[in-house]
Amino acid sequence: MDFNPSLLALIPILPLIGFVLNGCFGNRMGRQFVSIVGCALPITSFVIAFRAFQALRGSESEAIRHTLFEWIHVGSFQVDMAFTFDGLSAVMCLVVTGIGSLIHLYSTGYMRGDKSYARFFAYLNLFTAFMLMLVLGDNLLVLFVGWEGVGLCSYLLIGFWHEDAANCDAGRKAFIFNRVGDLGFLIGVFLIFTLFGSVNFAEILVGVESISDVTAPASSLNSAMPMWGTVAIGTLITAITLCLFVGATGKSAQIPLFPWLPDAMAGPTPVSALIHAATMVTSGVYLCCRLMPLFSLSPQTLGVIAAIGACTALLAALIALSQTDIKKVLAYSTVSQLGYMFFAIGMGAYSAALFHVVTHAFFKALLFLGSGSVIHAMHHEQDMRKMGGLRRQLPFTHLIFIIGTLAIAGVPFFSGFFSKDEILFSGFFAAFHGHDGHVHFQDQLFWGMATLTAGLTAFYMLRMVALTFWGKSNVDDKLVDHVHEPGGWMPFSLAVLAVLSVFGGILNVPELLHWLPFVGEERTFLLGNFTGLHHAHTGIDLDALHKLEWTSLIISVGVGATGLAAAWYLYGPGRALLDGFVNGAGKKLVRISENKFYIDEVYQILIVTPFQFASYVMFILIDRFLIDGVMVGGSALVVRSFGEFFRRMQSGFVPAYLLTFGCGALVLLFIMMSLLNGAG
Amino acid sequence: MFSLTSCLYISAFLFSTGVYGVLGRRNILVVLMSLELMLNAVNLALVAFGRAYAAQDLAAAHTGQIFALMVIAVAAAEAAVGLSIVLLVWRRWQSIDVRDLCRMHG
Amino acid sequence: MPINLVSADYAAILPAVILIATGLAVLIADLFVTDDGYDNPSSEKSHLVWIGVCGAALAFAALFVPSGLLFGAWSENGVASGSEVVFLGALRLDAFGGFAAAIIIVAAGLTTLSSGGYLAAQGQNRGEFYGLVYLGGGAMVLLAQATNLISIFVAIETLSLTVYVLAGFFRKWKLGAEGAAKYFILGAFSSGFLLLGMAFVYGATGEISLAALGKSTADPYLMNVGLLLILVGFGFKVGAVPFHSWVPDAYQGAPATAAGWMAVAVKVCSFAALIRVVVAAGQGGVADAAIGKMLAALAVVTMVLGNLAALNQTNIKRMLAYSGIAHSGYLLIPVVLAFQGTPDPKVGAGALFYLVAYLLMTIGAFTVVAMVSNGDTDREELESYNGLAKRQPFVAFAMTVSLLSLAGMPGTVGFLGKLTIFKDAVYSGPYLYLAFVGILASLVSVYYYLRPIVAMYFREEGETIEIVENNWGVKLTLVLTSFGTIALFFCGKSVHELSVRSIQSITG
Repeated sequence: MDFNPSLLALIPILPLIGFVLNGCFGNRMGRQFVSIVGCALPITSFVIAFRAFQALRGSESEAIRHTLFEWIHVGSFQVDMAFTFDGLSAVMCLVVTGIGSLIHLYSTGYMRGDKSYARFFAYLNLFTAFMLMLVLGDNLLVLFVGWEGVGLCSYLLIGFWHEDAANCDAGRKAFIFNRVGDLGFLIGVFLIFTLFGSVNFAEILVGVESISDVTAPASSLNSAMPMWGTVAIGTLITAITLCLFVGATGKSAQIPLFPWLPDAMAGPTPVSALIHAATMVTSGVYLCCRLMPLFSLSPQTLGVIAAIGACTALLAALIALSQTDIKKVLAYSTVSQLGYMFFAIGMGAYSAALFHVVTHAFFKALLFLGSGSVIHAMHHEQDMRKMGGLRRQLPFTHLIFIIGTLAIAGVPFFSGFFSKDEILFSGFFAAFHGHDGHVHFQDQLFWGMATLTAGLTAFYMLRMVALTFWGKSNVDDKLVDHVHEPGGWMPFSLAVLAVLSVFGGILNVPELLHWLPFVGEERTFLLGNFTGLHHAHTGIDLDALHKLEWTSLIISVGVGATGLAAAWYLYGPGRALLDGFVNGAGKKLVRISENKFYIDEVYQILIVTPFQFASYVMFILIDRFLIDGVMVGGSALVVRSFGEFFRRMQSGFVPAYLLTFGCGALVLLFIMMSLLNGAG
Repeated sequence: MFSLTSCLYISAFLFSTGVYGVLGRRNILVVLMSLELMLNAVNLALVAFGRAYAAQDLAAAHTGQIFALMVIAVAAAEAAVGLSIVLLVWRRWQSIDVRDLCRMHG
Repeated sequence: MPINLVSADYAAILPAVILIATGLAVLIADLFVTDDGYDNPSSEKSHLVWIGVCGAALAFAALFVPSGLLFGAWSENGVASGSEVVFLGALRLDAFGGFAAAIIIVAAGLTTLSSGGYLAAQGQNRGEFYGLVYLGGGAMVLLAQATNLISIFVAIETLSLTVYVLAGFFRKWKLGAEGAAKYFILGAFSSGFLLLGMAFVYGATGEISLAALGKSTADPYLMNVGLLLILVGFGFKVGAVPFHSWVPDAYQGAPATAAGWMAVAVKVCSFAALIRVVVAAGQGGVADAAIGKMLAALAVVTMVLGNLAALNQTNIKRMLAYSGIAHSGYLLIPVVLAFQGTPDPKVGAGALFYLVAYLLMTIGAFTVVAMVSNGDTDREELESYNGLAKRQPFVAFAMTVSLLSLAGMPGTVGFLGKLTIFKDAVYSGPYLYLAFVGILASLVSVYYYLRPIVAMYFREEGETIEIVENNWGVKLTLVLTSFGTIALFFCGKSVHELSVRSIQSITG
């Protein structure tokens, strides 16, 4: 199939046009216009992306490339505004435009009554444009533009309802946490340029190959590296990858930079679904996948990533256990699932990470949009303690939640089952077989944490469903009659996402399960092979491998089932048992979880308070006293009093005016005459 | 009999008298007269310079005289406008004392 | 000496003649049409406005006829046109005079356009206003072309007489009479000094042509004292400190549109004549270098004091008057450089270009003042502008553009004008400090230019004020000035090149 490469540029540009149209004319043209522009352009992007995807599958080439224009050209440093559409970009692009379009459609219903309807769609379109730039960028700088752009849009959308100061604070918190990560990211980019002499992905990867292949001459590396003369290249690569990972922890909400994501739930729910679940927060994972060969060169970095991922997954799951805000549960669940993805990257299972990005986008967007329906129906009530028994009034939404929960809990043959199983197996393999034949204790520990998290995930998700939809109703009497199912495009988006959540796993079925319907041998590891990220396990014969895989699969399914069953029992028939535990022996534990392990408080004491104190001192000393007081205030005072003096000189008396004139003339004459006399 | 220097001294005396009158007198009419005196002092200087040039260059001498005639014409127009402004001031302020005109200042 | 009037003579005075004829035509038209209320001073009298605007358009076109003032510089693509001495040396046909004449003519047209509704609202719409503008305009154009002392003096006096009357045009106002009287007394006083200076120069050389200023055989004592007195006279006309006292009072008492006209047109022709004088004096004569230093001193004092005194003004007309004084200070910088004649003789072009900018922004600002004050002196205070942006967004926008341009903000032609002048000063060497003082002074000026903008956009209005609105002339004026102010920032190059060619026609 023919595909004109220049169409690639249209993929990010179309939503950008939407932003301009909605931003400039949206308020004047009315909601119809905003809805049509806001939805049609991302959908068109999706269609183009899909055509590009078909063209890529049909062709031999690895990627479609298009250079829009030469961007920066200083000396040997050249960066183009160029886009690359390879397997990885294709997958991300389809997820962003596809799920993005569904969420845009959903928003036409969800935001119907909002007075800033046009502004919302303008921001959402702008976000889509930047996100597409991020995943399509041909080099680190284009990626960085998108990276910063999505951060900006995230900030704008979190504080979308800016009349409430808390929302603005949440936006600022997200922005500041992201800035910390961005600093690491930028340092990483500089180091990459120093080492490889380029920020272009293709050229970086050529450089990486020459490093890993010891026989090749290191010609593709930046020959002028005087400052790195004594530093081993391995150390440098560890530094680079760690810096990039710091950037990823900011964007993808990992320890220690995760507390902004739960607060980001202050934004409208479609924003949470699109930005804070499906797309932007996964850009850290995308970055690691994009530079997979570089990360693979540094086992130390991979170890750090695995540790951070596993810890984040467990910590967030523990916090999610006790949350009462329906969106906060989902937010911590997102942090936890992102932890899974990084755990997979740490294990070297990049394709599993990417696969989980995709399936997570399906079911987490579904759950967020479903929670949006609940919130919409409840007139912006988010506290689950004030819900309950909604199953009767919201049967469709209930079904949606059940599907989402089963998917995220890893119930066999739902989409989440495949991706999560692949991740857990990569951990299991490392823990009990070992990549290099040796088994390390820390790998076993991480695997244990990840497996425990799987059980916790199943537990808190079903707990959420139970609190919201089951049991007796705690709904406010005033609200109870108004609770209704969503209308318009909202059910459509939910239905499509539900189908994807159920069947999405077919994208990357492991070889073990090739006997499933619609799969077959040739369709196993579809996603991994397409993106070139799949890494077959070596050094082990197939039977042994299958044995390990079955073991891992049974363990993870069993843990998930246990979690589900526990939740079903404790929040159903065994409620008294739970209450006894919460009010008795487990009181302290519950409180720790409720208070999010006091992470915010630790930040407050360790960073915010000293920083505020220092800022205050600087403010008083430098700003108030030196600049405002002495420099600005002082000079302004002097200038104004001079002005007042000269204003007073204008007395209004004609003789005074004449005298001024005459004296002026006389002074000039006197000077002139004395000069002439002196000269003569 | 003619001496450029003495003519210029007379001219300077007249000009200074005019300046003093403008600066020191309160009555606008007197101020106007003093202004005319200044112009006429210059006229005297102009024709005096012309007389001094007459010996060597007649055209130069005529130039000064014509200049003086022009100044006389201009002074007449100026006096007309000046008097009408004085009239306006009298109507609005019921005074022709320059020191009373001080509502605008600062 | 036989006098032969040739076509160059006619071409040279054609714009001035058209302006004067227009002035007379307006006066006559105002007499004749007496039915359907045209004699009523509260009527808008758009027929007079039309006659005036058409006259201005004709005069403008007359600059570009073959052998017209600007024809050569405009058409010959960079080559300074041949200039000709006409009327036995009284005037000169050159692009320099043409450039200044163009600004004056445009100012006359814009003043006419903006005045009809304003004067009618005050009930003082008499044909004499337009007559005085055009008669004075003719004299100003002649002053810009004048090259001997007699023609300079006569032109200055003629134009002064018209503006004295315009300053007191609102006969019912006490302030109008006060301003006119102050302006007249000081103006006649300064004329005495100017004339004395001219007499000394004549005495020193026996000639009255400007070329005589460069004569090396002249008596240096008489010549330098004479030159200094001439500079004092011009200093009064442009409102340079310490000869500035009349400016705020005359502007405040004058009708707002007349104040705009006085500010722009008088400044343009006075600076044109002043540049002719200093260029002639700077060309190898006996003029002392101290003249340049004194001019520089005047520039510094004018820039500093003008801006400082404007800081605390609450009356917007007075504020703009002091701002006009400050702008005279900036404009004195190229005059100083033109006297010095280095580093290249084109430095005076900065003044011409700046005057174009000054025309647009000042007429714009005074037109808004006229609209808001609506003939009432109490509405010239800053509070009257509170919340204007909500009621009259376009008027507020036009005022903002004008004020930002006066402050020299990028995006407006005022920025380019300041940039040109300061850049020339920086390259001049010894007068570098003028640029330094100018930049500091314009920094200070931002404060008072922003005050009306803040009032218009960020203050709540106290009382609802009716302004002169739905008047086509006023709106058209504001559209033209604000468009020109912004557009010339982006495409001011051709205007700047024309100004360079114009200055080349007198410096060679």
